[in-house]
Amino acid sequence: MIYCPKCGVPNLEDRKFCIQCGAALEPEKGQRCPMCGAINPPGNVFCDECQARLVPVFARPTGPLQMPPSLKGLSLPTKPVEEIEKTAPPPEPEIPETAPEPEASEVSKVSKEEEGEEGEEGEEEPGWLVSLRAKYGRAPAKAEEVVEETPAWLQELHEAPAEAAAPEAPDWLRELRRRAEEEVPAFEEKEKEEEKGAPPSGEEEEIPPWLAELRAEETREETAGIPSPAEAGETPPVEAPAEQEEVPDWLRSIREGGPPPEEAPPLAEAEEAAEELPDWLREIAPQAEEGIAVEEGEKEEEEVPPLIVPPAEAEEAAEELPDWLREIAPQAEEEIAVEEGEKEEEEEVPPLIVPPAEAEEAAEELPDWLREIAPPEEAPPAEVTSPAEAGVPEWLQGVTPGAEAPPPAEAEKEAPSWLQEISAVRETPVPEETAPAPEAEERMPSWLQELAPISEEAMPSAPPEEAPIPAEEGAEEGAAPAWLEELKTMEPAPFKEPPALAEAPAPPEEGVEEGVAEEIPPFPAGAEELAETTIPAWVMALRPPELEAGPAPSREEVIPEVMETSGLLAGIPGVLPAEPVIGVPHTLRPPTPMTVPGELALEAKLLGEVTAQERPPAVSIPKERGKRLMRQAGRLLLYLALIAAILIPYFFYTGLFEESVPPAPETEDFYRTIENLSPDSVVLVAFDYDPSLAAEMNLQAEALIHHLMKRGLKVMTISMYPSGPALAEDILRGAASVYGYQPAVDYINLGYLPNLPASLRAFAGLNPMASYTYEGTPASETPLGQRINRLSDFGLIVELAAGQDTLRWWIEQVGSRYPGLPMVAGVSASLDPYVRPYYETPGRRQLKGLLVGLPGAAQYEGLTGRTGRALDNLESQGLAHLTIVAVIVVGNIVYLVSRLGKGK
Amino acid sequence: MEALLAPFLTEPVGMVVAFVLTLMVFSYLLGDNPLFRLAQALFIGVGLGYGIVIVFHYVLIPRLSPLTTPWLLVGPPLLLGILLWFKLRPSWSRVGNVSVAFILGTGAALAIGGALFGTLVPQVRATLLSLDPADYPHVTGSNMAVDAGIIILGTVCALLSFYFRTPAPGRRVSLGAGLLRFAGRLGRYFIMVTFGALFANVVMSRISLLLGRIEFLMDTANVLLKWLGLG
Repeated sequence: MIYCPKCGVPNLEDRKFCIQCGAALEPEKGQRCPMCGAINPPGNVFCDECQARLVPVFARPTGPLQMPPSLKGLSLPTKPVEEIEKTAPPPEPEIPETAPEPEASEVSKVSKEEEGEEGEEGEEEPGWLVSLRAKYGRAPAKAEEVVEETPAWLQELHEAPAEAAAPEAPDWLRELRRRAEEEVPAFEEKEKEEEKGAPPSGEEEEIPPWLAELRAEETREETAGIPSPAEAGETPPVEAPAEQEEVPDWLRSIREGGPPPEEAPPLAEAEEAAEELPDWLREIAPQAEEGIAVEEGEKEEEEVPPLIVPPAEAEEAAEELPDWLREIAPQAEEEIAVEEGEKEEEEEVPPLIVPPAEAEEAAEELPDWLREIAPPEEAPPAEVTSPAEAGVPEWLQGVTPGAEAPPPAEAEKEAPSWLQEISAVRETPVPEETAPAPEAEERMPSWLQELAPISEEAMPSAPPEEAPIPAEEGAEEGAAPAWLEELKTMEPAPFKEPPALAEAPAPPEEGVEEGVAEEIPPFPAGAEELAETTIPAWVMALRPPELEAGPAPSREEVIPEVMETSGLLAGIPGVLPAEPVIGVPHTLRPPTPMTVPGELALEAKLLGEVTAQERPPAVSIPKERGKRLMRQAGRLLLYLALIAAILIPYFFYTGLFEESVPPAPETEDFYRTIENLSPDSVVLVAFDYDPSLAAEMNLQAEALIHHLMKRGLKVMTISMYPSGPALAEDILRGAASVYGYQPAVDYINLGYLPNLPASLRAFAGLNPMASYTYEGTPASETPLGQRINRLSDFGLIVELAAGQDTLRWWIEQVGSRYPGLPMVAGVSASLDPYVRPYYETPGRRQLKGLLVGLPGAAQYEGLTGRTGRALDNLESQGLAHLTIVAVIVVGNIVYLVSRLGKGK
Repeated sequence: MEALLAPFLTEPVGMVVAFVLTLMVFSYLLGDNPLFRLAQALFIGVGLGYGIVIVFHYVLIPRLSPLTTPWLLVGPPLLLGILLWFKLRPSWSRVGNVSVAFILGTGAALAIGGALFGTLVPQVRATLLSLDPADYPHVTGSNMAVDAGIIILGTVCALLSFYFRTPAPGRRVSLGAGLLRFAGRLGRYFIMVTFGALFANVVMSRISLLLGRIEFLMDTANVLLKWLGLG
């Protein structure tokens, strides 16, 4: 039995949810789906039952990480395969324990789904994107695929510095590549240290210059207000000396306060933009290359260097950073603080969103491909404090929300197809929320779409009330690309289970008494806006009132505590099998009365009145006593009539059957057959009837035996009925006493022959005297028995049969074998139809003579001259027949008359 | 022993017992009652017991006695009979299958052979009757011819009444089918007449039995009255 952790109700072991309150019973062996409550394996990203997301997007997978598919379409410069292998970044740090396991699979699943949805377009993934994806559980695009589709100008970024720059590659791109090569080792070391858990030492030293600049600007702002671009530009970052060369023109101009540089030819612009790339952006490119290397090599996870400037560095770098970039830094500082304060967690990439004002300026210098990335209608970035938007390179201008459309001609010429796709995204309005428009998603490359905010699924606990990133507020024109929006909304906070799961209590331990049901989690925020539906009255009536108020019963109320008082289990509560509880119904409370609405109540009342009405008095069925008496009387009369008909001749002389009845032909033949026997013949008489028919057959038997003995013929009797020998013996003795016959000399009773055709066949085939007589002496030893050796020695066989079987057996088994042996039969009147065909076979009759019932016996007695009981009984027989005929006739007349009367 | 049972072996006692039992059986005319059930049970029990004794004395003893049956002829049947006893136990019933097979085989052969040569062939031959009165005795020649015709017609029609077939679709019936149908219907009439005759003979037989019982009761009553000095 499993006790519910919520209400304590015992449940069967195979149950997953409590039968009383519905709480989960099984321990969390995996991850429970917040939608349907099904238990999923730890590595699942989506629920197996309802396909709901189990792991938020930004959560780091703890289980076997399934690299998401690469984005298709847009791809940033990537490294060649060789360089990627060389610059393989170190593995990501360990995933903190608090991070739920499903994150990895969830993210990977999401990535897989998105990859599958997007088809198999050209996949070009920059290294920085790969690292981003790896960091947050996205499978980096395959380096091979990326490499295949990497535009030429992008591939040049990964070419060796010694190689002559392709005439197509801009200088800034080359610079990016060079810096990527230089900075990867440093970053790898930093990652290694983070994995080990040691806080990065010399953090300040390792702070990228751009971040330092950000911080520096911040501090300057704080101290002396909005610093002038000149001041911002004067204060170099920590690594300023080394990176002064790298300060982009736009940034420099910001610092100096000068106008942004004029648009140079594409190549020149690109070169200048490369030089003016902020460090944070510069690092993105190398990371993209690193990501590619990882994909091609070991598919190791990569970490995107946190694009979040440490607070100190951010302050320094903030002085020189444009306002749009400066606004990002504080937020980044906050995020860093959160990260550093907690366990080692990933650092999120701040949204690469540029203030609209600054974005416009920066858009001038941004490359076309990057310019098109940033739709101007996306969520606005942070406050715009500096008008140094002109300093934003063209390539970055596209990133800024509200940025003007990049030069279409030049941009489109250089922008690859994947980038052109993004241009469509710019044109589509992107809502303020992080989720990109579906149309935009369709146009956006896969890698961008993967970064599209899926926080709604991944963050079920993320309340919509969370304040957006400050940098985004106030954005008027344009919106950051989808991937930027997503990055902006990514929270460094660890994954939190939904309230339902978080509040699910663990199964109670033994002895722990818990049973109070927890309150239902609050409805998500914003639900107040939902219109309250009107529940029909009939539904309300069905609602059990017990749910309206009152907590769930405690376990003690439901299950009385039973403890053993003796034995090993004495004093231990809850150890006894709740066998009696099994029989306890689920609801221990008495059923609550249902509130019936008005209409139904009226109908119920009416029904009750109808049913409560007294039933009409049952119609008393008149007893058919009289009819029954009539039927019984009629039957009794018939019986009496028959008995009277039989007894009348006993008392009165009727004279109806005084004249002798002429004998039937079969009777005459029977008599003639016996008369024609030689005097020394031995006649075999079979008494094949039982005492039930003795009243009829004995008349024939007596007449026969008397006739045989009168003629001086030897008689042997046999019977296929067990009681036949006794009947035969009685008749033989009676006749023998009259005619002076001696047993064993003049007559022999051969006793019983098994009632089987085989026995008759054996009797007929073997020596008939191979048996004992009725007295118990061997028949073969008797004088009469010595005269018979086989059946053919008999002169006549007389079959006195009450059943057709024995008669047929005698005819078939004996008569067919000994056709010359005459055979006659005396049968009951009921066998007449069956036996007559054997007699009426012309030519060679099978039966020479036939006696049928009492009339036959009476006729036979008349022929023999013997006055026996048959003649005396013949009058009674006749009167009984007349009575029956009269009854039948009268009955049919009455029936016909009554039927005619009903017909009328 | 016989002296002790002598009073019960005399005929009057037997008659009295039979008289009482007969009346108990007749009480069924008034409905089922315990007396009838008692008489019925006694009849069954006594009959079964009597049969067992008869079988033992007149079947087993003679067949197993060397005086009547040579041992060579006794051995195989005795073995088969013993094997037949194994049918009493279901787990051993297979052992008695040999005996059962022998019984079934011989019984079927005897039954089929006897029916074939003892009933079928002779009866078929019996239907081969001449319809010429000249073939019969002069006095009853015409009657005999008519009887022969009726016998032939009745036999054939009665046999055709047991010829079953599916009716042909449609209302049109062929001539042969029509004749068969008519012959079958005629044969059923012959069968009905036969059943009528059968019923009449059964009634006559039962009346004879009733007559015999009543006569027995009358005779017994007279004897008892005389015995009691009332008659």
